Amino acid sequence: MVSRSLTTLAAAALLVGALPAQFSKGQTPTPLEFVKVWNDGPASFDDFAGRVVILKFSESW
Amino acid sequence: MSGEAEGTIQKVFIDQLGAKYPIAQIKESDKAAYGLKFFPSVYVIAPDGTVHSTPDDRMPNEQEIEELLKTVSLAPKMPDDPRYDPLRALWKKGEFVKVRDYLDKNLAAPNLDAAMKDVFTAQRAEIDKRAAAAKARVARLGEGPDYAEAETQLEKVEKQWKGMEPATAAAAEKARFASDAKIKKELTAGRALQKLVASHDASKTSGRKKLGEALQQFRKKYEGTHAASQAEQKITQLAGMR
Repeated sequence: MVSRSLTTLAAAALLVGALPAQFSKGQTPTPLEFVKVWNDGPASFDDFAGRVVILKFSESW
Repeated sequence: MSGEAEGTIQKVFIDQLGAKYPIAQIKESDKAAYGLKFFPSVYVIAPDGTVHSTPDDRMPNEQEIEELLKTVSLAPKMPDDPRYDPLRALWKKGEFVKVRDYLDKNLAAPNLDAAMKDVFTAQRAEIDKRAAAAKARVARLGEGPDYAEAETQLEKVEKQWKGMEPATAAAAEKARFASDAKIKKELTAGRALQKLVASHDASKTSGRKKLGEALQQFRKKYEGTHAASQAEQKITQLAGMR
């Protein structure tokens, strides 16, 4: 099981409106601002620096 | 702003699904830049901050993630100055007690220059922050329900934080696992499941079929355990792969 410096983040969000293109491999993604975090989540996107991050966007429906 | 209200995230992901991993509510405007077409969508970000895989790619497997993890430096950012090389080397080894002791020794030196003092003070705060996070993680691991995996992770914490509080906390959790009959049962089942899965080659149709049959037997044998639930989920996954 991978664990060292591995952060899994589930960002819950709703899909609406027109969709821009995804970020491509090698691009630096736009930082996300966290309104609220659970389970000892990161305080800011900067906390991911130097880590392997699995950024999972989920919906409840 | 998240597409989902704070109350919905709390109810669905935390209360109902029992998520133990970090969850963040994000702003709708931020999320739009990620071009999400479906849910769940997964981006994997490499240690250098760039996209390693996108939602349209195959999700990297554990081995690929492990390879990516090898590129991670445990050292926090510090000035590109050879005077910090010894400290950088200690961080790289991941021996946190040595990092702490090195910092404490240098910070106590009377002739430490102001710039180095600032860097060492920040580094000392960083190791305290990481220790606090490791302790919090130990507490979460102690809650189960996957005690077999938790024990593996606790052993890693114990090794990496030897001589510091997270290691003590990890050792205490392991001792608690060993003295709790219900957890011991979960550990036995969890380890048996790990062994069973590792002994089958699920990349081939025949291997998946044999694994599915073995998991059915496992589920009956260890009924009522978390591992039996995991076996059930695995059976469903395998059925979807045929």
